[in-house]
Amino acid sequence: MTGGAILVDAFIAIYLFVAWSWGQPSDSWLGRAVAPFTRPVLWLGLGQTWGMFAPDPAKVEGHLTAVITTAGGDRIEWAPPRMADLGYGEAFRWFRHQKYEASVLDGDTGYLRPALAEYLLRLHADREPVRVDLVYRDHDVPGPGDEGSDEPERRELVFFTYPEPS
Amino acid sequence: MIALHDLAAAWTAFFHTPEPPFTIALFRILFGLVAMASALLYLPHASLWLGAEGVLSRARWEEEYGGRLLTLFRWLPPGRGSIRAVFGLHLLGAACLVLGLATPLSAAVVFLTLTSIHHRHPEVTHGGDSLMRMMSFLLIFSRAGDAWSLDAMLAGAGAPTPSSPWALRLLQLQISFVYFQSFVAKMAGESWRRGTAVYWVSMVSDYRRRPAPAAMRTLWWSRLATWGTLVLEFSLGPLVWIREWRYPLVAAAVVFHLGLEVLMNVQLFGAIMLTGLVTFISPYDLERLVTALWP
Repeated sequence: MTGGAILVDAFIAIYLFVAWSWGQPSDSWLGRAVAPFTRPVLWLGLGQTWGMFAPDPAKVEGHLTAVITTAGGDRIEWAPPRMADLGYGEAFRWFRHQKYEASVLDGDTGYLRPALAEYLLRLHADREPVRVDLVYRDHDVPGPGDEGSDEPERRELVFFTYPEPS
Repeated sequence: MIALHDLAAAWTAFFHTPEPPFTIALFRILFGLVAMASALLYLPHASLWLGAEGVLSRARWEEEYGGRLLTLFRWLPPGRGSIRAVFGLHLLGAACLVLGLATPLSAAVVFLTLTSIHHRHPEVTHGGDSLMRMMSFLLIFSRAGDAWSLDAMLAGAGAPTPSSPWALRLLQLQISFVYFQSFVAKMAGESWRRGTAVYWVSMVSDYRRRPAPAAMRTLWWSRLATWGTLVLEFSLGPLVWIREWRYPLVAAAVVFHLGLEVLMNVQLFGAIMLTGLVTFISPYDLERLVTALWP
C-alpha cells in the first residue's frame, strides 16, 4: 500500500467517524472520542446533525414582532414576512427570513436579539427610536378532528427589551 | 467471526474498485446548478444577512464567533463590495463546476465561498446549506472532471479511465446518513411515533405552501404519511445499499421530495437531496442511457 493510499483511507475513516459521531452526548464514549476533532470540523463547517421536524414539529402558530418606540412615544411594528402569505417564487427568495425568525425566537441563539434591536434602531434612526421590544405572539393549532371548534386563545409575550435593563 | 483481512478486502472493494466517472460527473453538473441557484436566491437579501450594518453587525458576529468559523468576510473590508466579490467568486466557481473547468479548484472555491457565506450568519442557514458544504468539500477530492467536462475535452482524452470512486462513496454514505439520522431523531418524538407529525407540519404555516386539502388533514392520512416518512428515511439508511432495492428506494425518495415540494416551502432542500440521490445511479447504467440517447 502506498503512502497516498494510506492517507486516503485514513481520510475516509475520519470523515465517516466524525459524520457518525457528531452530535452525540459529550459524556458518551463517542462524544468523547470525537471531541478532538470538534474545533477543526466546526471551523470548516463540516459538523452535522440531521432531523427536520424532529423530535416533534411545532403545535402552535407562533411569530415574532418587534415594536420600536420613538422618543415622541410613537410605536412602529416590524415583522418578518409570513411564508404562507407569499407566492411560490417569493417564498423561495424570502425563505431565510423564516429561518431567521425561528432563530431569534430560539433561546439558544440569544445574541441575535440585541443585534436585531440595534439593526432596527439604525433602520429607523430618523424617527429617534429609543426602545425595542421583541414580542412573541402565538396560538394553539387545533388537533386532528378539532378544526372548526372555538377560536383559539391568542397569547402575547414580550421576551426581550433593548436597551436591556441593567 | 469476520477476519481482519476480509474486512480490509471488503473496504478496498467498496471504496476503491475502479469505475467510470459518469455518476460523479452528473452529480458535479447538477450540484453546480444548485449552488448557483442558492446564491442567486440569497443575493437579494445578502446585505441584510451579511452586511456590516445588517441584522447581525460585524461587531456582534465577531463577539459571538470570532475566529471559530472559517469565513472570508473576516478578512475582507466591511461593505457591499466584499459581499459582491464573494458571491461573484462563488458564481464563477459554480459555473466552472457545471462546465467541468479546473474542477478540483472550482469545487474548492465553491466550498470556501459557501462556507464563508453560511458562517457569516449561521442562523439563517438550513440543513440543505450544510449538506451543500459537505458535497462541495467531497467534490474537491473526486474525479468529477474526468467526464462530460471541459477538463476532459482540453486534455484530449478519449473515453474516461475508470478510477477509484472513494469520494463518490463518501457522498453516497453522506446522503444515506442524512436520511438515517433524520429517522433516528424523529423516533425520539412522540408525534412521529403516534403518527400525527405530518398533520402538525401541514397545519403550521411556517413551511406550508398552501393549506392542505381536507383529506390530508385527517388522522389516517397523517399516520400514513408520518409512518411512511419514517419507513422511507430508515430504508435510505441501510437498505439502499442492497443493490436490488436501490432504484425502487431512490424512486420512492424522488416522489417523496417532489411531493414535499408541492405542499411545502423548504426552499432548495428538495433540489439538494435530489442531486444527492443521483449519486446512487450506477455509472454503467448512466453510460448505457447516454449511449441510447446520443448513439
